[in-house]
This record gives sequence, structure tokens and C-alpha cells, in this order.
Amino acid sequence: MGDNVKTPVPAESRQAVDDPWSGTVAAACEGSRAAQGRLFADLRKYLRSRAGVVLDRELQVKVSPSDLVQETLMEAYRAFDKFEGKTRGELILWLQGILKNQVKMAHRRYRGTGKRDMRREERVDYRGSRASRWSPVDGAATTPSGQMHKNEQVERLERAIAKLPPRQEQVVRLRNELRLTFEEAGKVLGCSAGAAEKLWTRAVDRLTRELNDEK
Amino acid sequence: MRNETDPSDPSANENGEFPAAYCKLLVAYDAGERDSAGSEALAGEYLERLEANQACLDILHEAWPQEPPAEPPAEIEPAQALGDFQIVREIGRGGMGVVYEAEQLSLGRRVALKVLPFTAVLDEKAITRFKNEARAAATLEHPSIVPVFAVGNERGVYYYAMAYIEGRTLAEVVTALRQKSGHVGAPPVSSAKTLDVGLSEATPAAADTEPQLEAALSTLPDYGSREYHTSVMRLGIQAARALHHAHERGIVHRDIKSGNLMVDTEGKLWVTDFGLARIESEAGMTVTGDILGTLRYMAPEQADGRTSVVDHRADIYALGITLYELFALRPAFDAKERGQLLRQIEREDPPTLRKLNATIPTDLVTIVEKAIAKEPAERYGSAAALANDLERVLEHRPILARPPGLIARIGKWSRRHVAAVWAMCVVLILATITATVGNVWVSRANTVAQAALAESQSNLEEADRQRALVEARAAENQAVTDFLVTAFKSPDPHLLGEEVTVAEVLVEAEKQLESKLAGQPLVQATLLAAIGETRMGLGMYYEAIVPLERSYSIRLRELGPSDDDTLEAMVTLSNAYYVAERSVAMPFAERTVEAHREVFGGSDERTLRATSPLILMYSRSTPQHQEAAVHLATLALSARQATLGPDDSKTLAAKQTLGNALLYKNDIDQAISLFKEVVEDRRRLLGSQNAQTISSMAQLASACFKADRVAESAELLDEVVDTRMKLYGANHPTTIRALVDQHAAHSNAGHKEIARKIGTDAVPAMLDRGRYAQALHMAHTDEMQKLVDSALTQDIDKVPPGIDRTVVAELLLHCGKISEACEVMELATRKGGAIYMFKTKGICQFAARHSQAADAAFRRSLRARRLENGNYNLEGANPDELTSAYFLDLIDKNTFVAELSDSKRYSGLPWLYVGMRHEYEGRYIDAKMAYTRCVEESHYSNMPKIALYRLDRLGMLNHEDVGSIE
Repeated sequence: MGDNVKTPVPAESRQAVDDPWSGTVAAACEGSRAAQGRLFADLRKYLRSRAGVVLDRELQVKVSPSDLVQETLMEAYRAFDKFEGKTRGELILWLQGILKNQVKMAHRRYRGTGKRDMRREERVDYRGSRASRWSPVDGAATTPSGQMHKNEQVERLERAIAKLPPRQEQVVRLRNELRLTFEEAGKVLGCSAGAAEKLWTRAVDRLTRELNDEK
Repeated sequence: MRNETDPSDPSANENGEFPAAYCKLLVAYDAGERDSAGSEALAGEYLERLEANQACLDILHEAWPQEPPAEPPAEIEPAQALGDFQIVREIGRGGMGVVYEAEQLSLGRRVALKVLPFTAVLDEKAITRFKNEARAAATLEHPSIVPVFAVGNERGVYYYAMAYIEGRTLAEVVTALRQKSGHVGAPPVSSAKTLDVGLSEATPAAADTEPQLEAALSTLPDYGSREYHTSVMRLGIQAARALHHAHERGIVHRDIKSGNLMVDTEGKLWVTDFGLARIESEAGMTVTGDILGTLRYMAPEQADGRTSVVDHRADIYALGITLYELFALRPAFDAKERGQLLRQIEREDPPTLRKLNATIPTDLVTIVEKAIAKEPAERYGSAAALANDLERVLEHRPILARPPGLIARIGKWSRRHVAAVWAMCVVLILATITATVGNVWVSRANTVAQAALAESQSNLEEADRQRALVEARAAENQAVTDFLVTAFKSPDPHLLGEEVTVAEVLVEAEKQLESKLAGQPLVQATLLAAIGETRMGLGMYYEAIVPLERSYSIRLRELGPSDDDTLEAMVTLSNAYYVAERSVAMPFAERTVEAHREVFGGSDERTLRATSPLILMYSRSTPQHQEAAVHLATLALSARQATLGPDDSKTLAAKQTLGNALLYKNDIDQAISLFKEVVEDRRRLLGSQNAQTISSMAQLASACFKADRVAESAELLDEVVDTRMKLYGANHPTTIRALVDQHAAHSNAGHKEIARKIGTDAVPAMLDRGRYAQALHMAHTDEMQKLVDSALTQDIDKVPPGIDRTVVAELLLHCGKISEACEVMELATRKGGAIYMFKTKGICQFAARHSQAADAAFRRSLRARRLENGNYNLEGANPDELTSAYFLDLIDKNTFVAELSDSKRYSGLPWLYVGMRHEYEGRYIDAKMAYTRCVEESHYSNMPKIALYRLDRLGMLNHEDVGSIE
């Protein structure tokens, strides 16, 4: 499995001082299970949103995206010594590679090969449906604390983000949720930092409109 | 698939691009630069845009705050301390867990400390569940269960501390034995490095010195010898007893296998790792190589992962597989690939033990085969039963296990036993027929039954039926008697085997009817009706329906639709549909009444009798139906008054029926005055100690209760309970029903002490009968745990379908057994059901996060309210329907609460469900607030009881988890 998901070693190393994660990534590379766990816990939600996007809708009846993420992380635990990067962006890229493999295996297992081009990503209503269907109708009126208010805001944001095209969603998540630099985000997305910036600008603009529609 | 650039977007240029300057400004803002230099270069339209986009970024920043990662939790090294535990050395390491030998500093004892390094992979819910399960496991005290000392979280590391056992796992013992006895050919049981990486390796003491293995082995005689089999049986008995102990407390191990059973140096058996199985499977083992070691022992229902019910019988299966392995020195299923292994588990029987081990006693083969049956129902019902059978072999007594099926089982018995079974059948069927025909030889001992029968007859006005049946054809009766006499021989009930139940006997009788009475359909029909009615009497409503349907269709075919007997069968069947809560009940009852009207006319006594179940059904349905019910009941009453006079017992029964219909329609005062008339009349005509008089008093009492005249109600019920105790005894259903009402009346009248005493006296008996709804009503708040515990170990087949099963499901929900609760409701509603059942089913599915299934169930419960255009008319909806509407977001919380705020009885109910919904949405603080409101708002005690219980459970979480969960 590790063969398919080899990470390109980056030419320029990120400014280690600024990156709050560099210590944790380094510890994880040295084999600290705890540091790996900390990183994975942080990336779990992001991976889940990816799994929801790249996994066929019909297949989600048989394989839940959460399960795939769990398999992905288990696999990553086992194969962490094969990870050759230094930054969290590279780690995300590596994990995405494993996830992609898991998805491929799931597709193969349930419907044979070659039926689907993995690059053709479609939005499926997996995450959006729950959020919108079960979102509390009475929330704002009764929120007891700022914490609750924030939860609602996050929910509204998630609903709006779910309406973005997949790559726009991804770039917002990479940049703002996972706080990658545009260079790192570009690597994950397979484009240059400049292209990532432009994609992100469009995404933010679109998100602004979706948020307004939410209101 | 959407385009990434929006062509309708006016402010992006032709390429869908923003100007580079714009891009830079937004990126800078995102990076925290608040200096707006450069914005002047932008065109006006972009300026406004920029501000909007910056506001959007503010929201993003607030939602996803920039926080430095917390200090990564420290690695644990030998000589380190983890909380109260001082690590001594690592004794085992696998893919999934590291086990250390450690010392518990505060108590100075030696422990095996299992550290779970993978918790970051799991979501918080799974971790919470792990903690709850481990805590539950920690309460187990049994000489063969390795005690769990502690479970906790220290610096981000979850650990599980159990007693340190000096010994070896059975997996290691088997491997050693294989080598010793030169077993070749079959694959190894546990080739730790290739297949079972992890657990068997990571069990405590795994890395210990060889002498321990020697010691463990020395307690086992040579493989294949009689002594070896005896030793294995002894180990099996210990393991089964330990499992039974846990099962009785509602705890299922879920991962019994040779790697989790240890033999210590004295040869004593220990079960380890209680409370760990679920977390390990959730950690993803199910998909990777590690699973094979565990999967090999998994029961089919557990391995396929589709069914949510994994109960104690999965443990029994796994123990059976382990015993197989010990007897065969090879695994029962040996595939090396996951898919293949699953296929074996699901479809194939393992090679018979006899082939692999020539010296094994036949009884042991039978026992193991029964334990590892694919169907849970065909396995031992309890681990204790398995232990008992193993003991029987040790003591050279005949075992109870037999190939499944009554006939096969009986086949092995002596002829005398067969006779006994048939005798039982004769007694039963005769008793049924006697009761219905009203035969003279109902003995003195049956007075109680008779009185009860009379009462139920007065309610459903079945007295006529006796006459109808007495007039039944003499020839047919003769044929029935002949069948019974030839089919069932000499009565000797004392010789009955312990496993034959009345229900099984009826199944057999039903089968025999087919062949032995093939040429006499009408006789078949009579007997099928008798079987159906007996099942109704046993509370087996679903099972009653098939014979009653057949009886009806035979008569329809043989006698035509207008025959008295056919119509009779219709009435019985529509009653059965009603109690079984089948959706066809109402239309069928309507057809029944229609058919009677056509044959006998509208005011004929037989038509009126057929009408009464329909009135009852209408009364429990929508307001329009309730209107119709009152109308029908009024017609019936005036017809009887005209033909029979005001004092006839049937006239009085009709008056009572009308009162009931009015009560449902909420014309309470009118209902009360009617009931009062009936009570007075019956007292005058029949006396105060009469069953029918008492029945009408009970009705009056419940009407008073509904009118909030609780003291009056309590007084009446005191008399009702008193008399019924005398007439029927304390355990009779009607006595119990009265007790429930008496309890409610007293507690609402503020007679707390009296109420509590009534409740405490009655709850155990009710739980014993599976009457959970009643038990819930009567239990004191302190006794909720008792109910939950009982629900956890309840054999659901023994709970009456309908409200009681629904309550069991809710109790399971309340203690976190969500998938079990789902399964209970799935079964309960398989053939339709009442509104409240679908509501509860919806909540279970909601809790399990199956949002589509939840949706469907809630919508099903609102079916009667659905309009042509797909919307719902919620006017006058009952509390259950409102609850469903709330979960579907058809109404919001405030409406839900407001709808019921005027009802004294239900004012607390919305808050309870609001709390549950919040809880399942993970909004624990809101849930707590709602539960607190429920306690405050409720007038009566049922809702707060549950709310307090939930609060208590949430409180337990509170100490450390709530923060992290949110």
C-alpha cells in the first residue's frame, strides 16, 4: 500500500519556526504514537469530508465514510515509518493518498474495477443532508451560552461550505480549517501556490454568497 | 457537477478571475494583516465585494480559531508512572495495544496495564462508550473473571488496568500442545506473527517465561486422553459460569477466544479483557489483518456486521468455537483470507469433531455443535445451560442438548415421554374448547378463570358466543374428540421434559392437524380456532393470527361468507388483529360489521356484538373515528334498550361501551354519569362482589381519574383492588391493571406513602411477567435502575408485543444500548403497529444516527395525519404524533411544548423528548436543561422519573467527558 502513496520530498522546507505543528510532526516522524494520534485527531474531520466526496453515493450505503477514515488512519498508524515528509501539508497529502486507496479498494470490492474515474469528484449529500435536515429549528432562541452560539455558527458555516464545488471546499478547508500555507495547499490540490490563492479567492467569494443565502 | 467558476458572476472577469490585487488583499487579510493599503487601487464594485468577503473570513476565523496544538501526550516508557500506576516492564505489544506489568502505587498491587494507543483514531462517542463499558465490566466480581481495577485517561493515554495473572492464554496452550503432540497438516491455531498480530500476543503475561507455560500445560493431561477431555470440560464450565455471571448483569464480552482465556499456574481459568471488545473493533480491526484472530471466533450474526443484535449468545458461540479448538487442536474455521473466512462462518459447518478427535465422547460433540449453531436461537439459551450440560457429561448423566426441533428431540426420548407431550396437548386443547363451549366439567379450581372470563366477556360482549358454540354441530364435536383421543395418548403430565413448552406443543398440534384431519376441513377450522384462542390467552398475539386466519378462510371456503360460523371466525380474527395491533385491524373489523349487517340486519344481537371491537378501535383513532364510535355505541345501546329492556346485562354492557367511547372523545362528564348508572344497576342486580360490577367500578374510576377527580378515583380503586384480590388473586392481569390505576390515583391525589408501597410491592411481579409499561408506571424514581437492569437481560420474546416492548426499547435507549433498542423496535413493528411504536422506533433510529430510517418511522407514525399534498394536518394530534412531528421538524420546540402545556398529564412530555433529541445530537448542556424543565413542568411522576434518570446518567459523564464531547 505504501508504494502507491509515496510522498514527494519537498525541495524547500517550510519555515519551521512559524509552523506550530512542526514539533508535533517531527515527534510523529520519530515514532511517537502520541504525536501521531494528536495529528490524526486533528485531521479526522477533514478526511471525513473528503471521504464523503470521493466515495460513490450508492456505496455509502455499504461503506460509511467514517469507516473509511478509520481504516485510513489505522493504515497510517501501521505505515507511519513510510511517511517521508516533514510538514503537516505533506502529511495531509500522504493521508489523502491512503484514503484514495481505501476508496479504490472499496469500489473494487463492491462493484469491480474501472467503473469509475476517481478524479471525477461529485458532491454527494452525505454530510449536508444530516446537517440541514436535523439542524435545530429552535436553537437561536434558547442558546444558554456563547458556546452554543458558536456551535450554531459552525453548523451554518458547514452547510454553506457543503454547497461549494469540491475543490473550492477543499481549498477553504486546507487553508482556514487546517491552516496550511498556500504552497502546502497547492501541493495537496496538485497546483501552484498562486493557483491555490486564486481558487481560494473565488471560494471565499462564493462562500460569502452562500452564507448570505443561509441567512 | 458544478462549475467552479460561476458564469453568472458579474464581478469576475471573463476568465472567472479576480484581479491579482484583489487576491493579494484578501490573502493578506486572511493572514491577519488589517492594513487596508492597496485597496484604493480597486474598482468600486470590488471594494464592496472585498468587505463582504472579509466579513466571511471573520466568520471562518471565529469558527476555526487558530490555536497552537496542545502538548503531545507523552510516550510511556518503562520506569514511568501513569497516574497511580508505576510501569514495571512491557510484557506484550501488538498492533493494537501494549500491555505493561505495573504496580498500582496507592494499593501496592501488581496489575496488567493495557494501554490503548489508538484512541485518536476514534471519535469521542466511541471513547465514552468504551469507558462506560469498561466501568460496567469493572463491576463484575467472579472467581473466573480477571478483575478490572481501573480505566482512565492520563495525559491523553487511555488505559485499562486489570489484575495480573500468572499464566498462559489458551491460544498459547493450544499451540504448545500442537507441537508437543506433533499435530501437522491443519493450520496453526494462532500463528501470532502472521494472522493474529496483536491481541493474543498482547495479553497480559504473554512475554513471560517458559516455566509458566509449562505450569499451565502440566495442569493438562495428554491430548486425546479421557483426562484431557475432562480437563477441557472443567475449563469450559468455569468459562461458561463466568460468562453467565456477566450476562446476568447485562454485560456481553463480545470477544471470547482462546487468546482471552487464561489458565493460571494452578490450572484455574480466567476470562480477560471484559469491556474491551467493542473499542477494539471500532478501532478498525474489522478491516485489517488483525481481525482474523478475532473473526475466527465470531458468531455469524456478529461477523457479518449487518444485524445490530449481538447478545450473550454470541459469547456462547465463541466459547463453543474455543472448545472446538481445544478438542480438535485446530481452529473450527481455518480460512486465511477474510472473505473466505466470513463465508465459512456464515455458511459452512466445521468438520465434525469426531473426525478430528476419535476419542471424544459423543455428548461433547453434541454440546459443542449446539453451542456453535449458526442460528442464535438454536444455541444454548444461556451460558449456564452450557455449563450444566458439560457438568452432566462429567457426572455421566444424559445431557439436554439435542439436535434442534421438537420431533427430533422427542425422538430420542422413550415412548412414555411422547405420550406425556401429547397428553399436555390434550389437556390444553380440551381446556380451550371446554372454556369456550362452557362445558360442565370446568372444575372448582377454575372458578377464578371463569370469573375473569365472565368479566372479559362482559367487556367484549362475548356471552353470546357460548350459546353459538353449544349449538355447533354435534358431529363436528365428535370428530374433534376423536382427533384428540387418537392423536394424543395417555395423560401423564408429570413426565414432561423441562424444555417442552405449551407454545411448542401448540406448534406441533398445528402441524398434526394438516395431515391427520386433511379430509375434514371444518374440524380443522374448529381446532385452528381453538389453537388461535389459546395463543391469544398466552399473549402470543402474532402467532395466534395464522391459525385464526386459516380457520376463517377454511370456513369461508366451505360454508360461504354468510354462515354463522364464518362470521364468528371473522369476529375472533378481528379481535386478534386488534390486540396484535395489525394495520388491517380496522378495515377488517369494518368488513366484519358490514357482513353481519347484511346477514342479520343492523339491530340484531350478533351484529351488535360484532360492532363492539370496532367501537374500541374507532375510539383509539382520530377524532372523526371517535365521533363514529360514539354514534355506533349510541345505536347499539338504544337497540338493546328497545329489545332487551334497561336491566338486561347486555344493555348495561352497551351502556358501558358508550361510556368508554365518550371517554375517548373527551366527553368525560357524560361518560362518568353513564358509568355511575352502570355501577348502580349492577350493584343492584348482581351484588358488589360481582366481577362485572367491579369491572364497571374500575371504568368509573379511570374516568374520574381523567376528570382529575383523583381522590374519588383512588377510593373506588381501593375497593376494586380489594375485591379482585379476593376473586382472582394478586397475580391476575385484571388485578394488576387495577393496581396500576390505584397507584396512579393515590400518587396524584398526593398520598405519596400509600402509592409508594403499592408500587414497591407490585413492580417485581410485573417485571417478571414482562409488563414493563405497568412497571414503569408504578416504579419509584429510585427504582429506575432496577427496570433498566431487567430490560438489559430480558428475553424479548417473553415480553408482550406493543406497549411493553416499546417500553423495553426505551429503557435500552436510556442506558445507551441503542442498537439493541433499534432491534427491539424493528421486531416489534415488523407487522405494523400503533402510532406510539413508530414514534419510539423513530427515536431509536435517530439515536443510532440512521436519519433516513428515523425519518421513515416518524412519518409512518403520522400516517393518519398525512394530507393528499404530502403535508400533515396536526390539528388535535396526540402527544406521540406531536413528538414525531417535532423530530421531523414539522413543528419546532416551542410549538411542541405549547401544544401540551395545558395538559396536566402530558405537560412534561415535550421536554423529555426535547432532552432526548438534544442528547442524541450531542448537545448535552441543552439536553440537561430540557430534562430539568421536564422535572419542573410535570404534574405526574412518569416523565420526571425518566428525566431524572437521564440527568443522573449525564451527570456521570459530566465529570470528565462533557467538555471533550462538545
